[in-house]
Amino acid sequence: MPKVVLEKVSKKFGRITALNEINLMLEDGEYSCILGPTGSGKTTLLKIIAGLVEPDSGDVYIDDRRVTGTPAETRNAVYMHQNYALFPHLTVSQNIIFGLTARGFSEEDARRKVSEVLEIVRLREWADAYPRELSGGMQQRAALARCLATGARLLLLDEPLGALDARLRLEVRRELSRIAEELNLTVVHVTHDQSEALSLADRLILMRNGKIVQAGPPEEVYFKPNSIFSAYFVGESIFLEGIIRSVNGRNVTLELKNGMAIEALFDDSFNMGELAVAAVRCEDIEVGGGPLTGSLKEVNFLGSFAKLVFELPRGLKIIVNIPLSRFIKEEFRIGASFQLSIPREKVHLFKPPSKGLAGEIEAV
Amino acid sequence: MPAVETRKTIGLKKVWSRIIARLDKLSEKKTVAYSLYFASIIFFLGIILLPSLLGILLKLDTAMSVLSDPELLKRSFSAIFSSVILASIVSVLDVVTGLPLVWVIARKKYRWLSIVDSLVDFPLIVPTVILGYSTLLLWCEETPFSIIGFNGISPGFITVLLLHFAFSYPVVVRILVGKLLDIEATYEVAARTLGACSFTTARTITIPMLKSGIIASLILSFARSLSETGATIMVAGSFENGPVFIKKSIDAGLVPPMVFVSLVLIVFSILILAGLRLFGFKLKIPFRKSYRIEAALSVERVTRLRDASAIIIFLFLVFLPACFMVLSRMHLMLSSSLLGEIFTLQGAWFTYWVSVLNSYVIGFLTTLINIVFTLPMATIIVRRKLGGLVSRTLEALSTTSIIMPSVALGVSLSLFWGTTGVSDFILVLLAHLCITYPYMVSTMVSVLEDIPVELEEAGRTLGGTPFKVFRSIVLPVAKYSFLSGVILTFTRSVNETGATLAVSKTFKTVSVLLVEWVKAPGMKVEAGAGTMVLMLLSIILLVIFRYIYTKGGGGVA
Repeated sequence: MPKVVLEKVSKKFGRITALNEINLMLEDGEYSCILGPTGSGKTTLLKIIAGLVEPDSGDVYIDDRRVTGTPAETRNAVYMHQNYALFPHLTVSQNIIFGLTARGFSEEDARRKVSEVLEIVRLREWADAYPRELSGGMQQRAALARCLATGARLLLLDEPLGALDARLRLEVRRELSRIAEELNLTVVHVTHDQSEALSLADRLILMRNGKIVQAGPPEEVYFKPNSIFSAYFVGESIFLEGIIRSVNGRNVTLELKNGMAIEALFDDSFNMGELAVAAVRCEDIEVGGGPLTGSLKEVNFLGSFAKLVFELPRGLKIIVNIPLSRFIKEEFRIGASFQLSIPREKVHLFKPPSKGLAGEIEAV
Repeated sequence: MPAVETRKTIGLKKVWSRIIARLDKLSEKKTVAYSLYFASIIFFLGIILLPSLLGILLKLDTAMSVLSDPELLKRSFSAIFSSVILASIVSVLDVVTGLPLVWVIARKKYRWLSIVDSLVDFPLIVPTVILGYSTLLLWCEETPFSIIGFNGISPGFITVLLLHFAFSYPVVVRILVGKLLDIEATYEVAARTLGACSFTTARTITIPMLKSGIIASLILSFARSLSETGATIMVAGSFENGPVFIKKSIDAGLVPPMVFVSLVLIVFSILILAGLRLFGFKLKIPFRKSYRIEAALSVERVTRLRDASAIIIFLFLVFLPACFMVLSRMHLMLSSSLLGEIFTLQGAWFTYWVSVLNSYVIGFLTTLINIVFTLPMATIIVRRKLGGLVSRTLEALSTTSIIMPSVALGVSLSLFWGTTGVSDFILVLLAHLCITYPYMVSTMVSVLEDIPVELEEAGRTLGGTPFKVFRSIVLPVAKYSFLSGVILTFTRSVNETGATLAVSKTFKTVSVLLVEWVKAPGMKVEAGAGTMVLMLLSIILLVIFRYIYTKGGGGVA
């Protein structure tokens, strides 16, 4: 059963550090999504597991077997490229047969396997088509079929939905999760699309600058971000800078730059008078009855919810996402003044980053 | 007995698949891959690079004697200077006059274009020496243009220029057509809809995108002009460039001037080629301005005139010289009993067919050995298997011998191997390997560069061993460029004369024999017929190659 372990894996390309001492364990049958901005090392990590790139140091284990340095074809881990890498000179079924004959299947078994996997991805009628004759979605499914046919139980997907349009992406996303579940595959799925990662993953691994920032079930990463970057990259948050003014029992008070104050749950890592950054999800802020007052600047209707932008004194901006059920157009007039409140348990306090808040977020 | 036969074929198939399985297994091992890389580097250094240079370098001490002879020194430098000037003019002319034809072939959609397209390849199958002789007949000795009052020119700089233009032009057009076809017409459409006329579009969009191809063409035609010997001598008259001077020194038994000029030429060419590579890419074509004359040049009447003159230049200066000798001998061949003699192996024709066989055996071996050793080399270069510095160094070195004058190369090889007592057959084979190696390496490099690395990676993680990935993915996908490399290498070997003559007096390839016939009194008709037969054979081979190319469809081996 495929279980993947990475121990202190590092990789440099020239002067650029792609991976910096990565430790990671992926359980058998787990669907993991590696999420991160461009250049965070996601693809390198995936290629190191596949055996397409050798780490400079550290070790890779698949099923408790040390595979560092072994050739890709012996690892029983199939890698699917973002652009699918279907062999242009072979038909769909020939593409699938490639991996089968490579693994020593007899011709008859190979043929049976081909129709089996084409059934799974619903491409039966397209067996004899060449890749160029397929639509993007079909190519994606053909590439998936090619991976599945090999019988490899470890699937490494590099942005598998990146080239599809939004509607198709949703469809294939469901399909992927169904197939992974049915065949009990261990999947590592690289993406920079957070909704894709949140919806598919049993475990979400957030990367930045060649390091793992946070790893855990998607709910955990979403509700308990362990860093400003986590809060920024997964979901939508606002960030408020301030000074810890009072600590009383279970609460602390954070005084914002404009003199207003919000409360957060007690956190013993902060002392009185210390600078802190509060991260709050935009959907956790409530309109009406609170310590903050601001005027409505912008209203954006976004389908299932509405995005409201409030301006507070001294240029502070607060974005609030409210569900459509609570959005009454006549009530939210531009320029009107509103009170905003933030439940203290929804406030996440972080130490101010060394390069400043803007630097921390813009560096993404 | 068909039953036995089937059993036999099944047996053979089994053996074959066992060999394949064994190779698959072997290719999995990293040590095997690295041994291959190592072997290819050893082959390159030990068989190609060092012998081509060492033979000359070993005689370096004698070259210094040239410095003390002012008369000889003056002649040497004037020969070197002529070579460089000639090569520069030829390469620039090739690109300037070739581009319009390239445009016509790659972008226009007339049905007769496919004929022009195949005619472009035709001069490549004519042995260069024969092209030289043909040039001499066409422009000097038997010019057909006497009916319009042109009585021919005497051999000299102009005839050499015409000859070099004729043999390098097809290669340049071939390279540039391939590159231009790779550039999608959408960029040009975009530029046109943004308001640029066709000439401005070409100058600001397409030509900058073609730059790498243009630089490659310049380098190739420059190198070819600098190194060609056999044909040049035929049309040189009293004109003397590097290779002619070298050949004359060798014939006079003078080693020092030959070593001296060869060395200076090599150093000079390396500098020029390195300069082209380094600064060529940095060269900017003026972009911002749009000139009024360009609109005038884009008018249909003018472009038609340009296209027509491109085709006329090709037909008269390249195609006609290539086939003039055969054409001018045609009536003599048809009126004699020659055709019967050719195929009944009578008299000289027996020697002829032996030499054809020699050429083909050498050509076949040269191609095969080069494929085996250039593939790992190209992998090192393109996939940077041994790091960037090694890649770049090997890439630069592997194309060096392209600039060696073929006679000098031959002399260097015979100086190097001469003492070892290897047979003439091996010597000729070694010479041909050295001459065709750079062509094969650059083809293999472009083959590998054209294959997206994802395809290889996908093949590997699906369970394919490196050998399986190579034979069922890389090779089929790159079949076209692979085959053109094979054709280029093979025809270059069959048509080679300069180096072959320098390494062996007894082993005769067909090109060497034809040169003898051309020079021998009373063999003029035979020379023509022999050339024609060789050309026909080449055409048949080309057709077979094309058939293999179009036949092999998909399928997983």
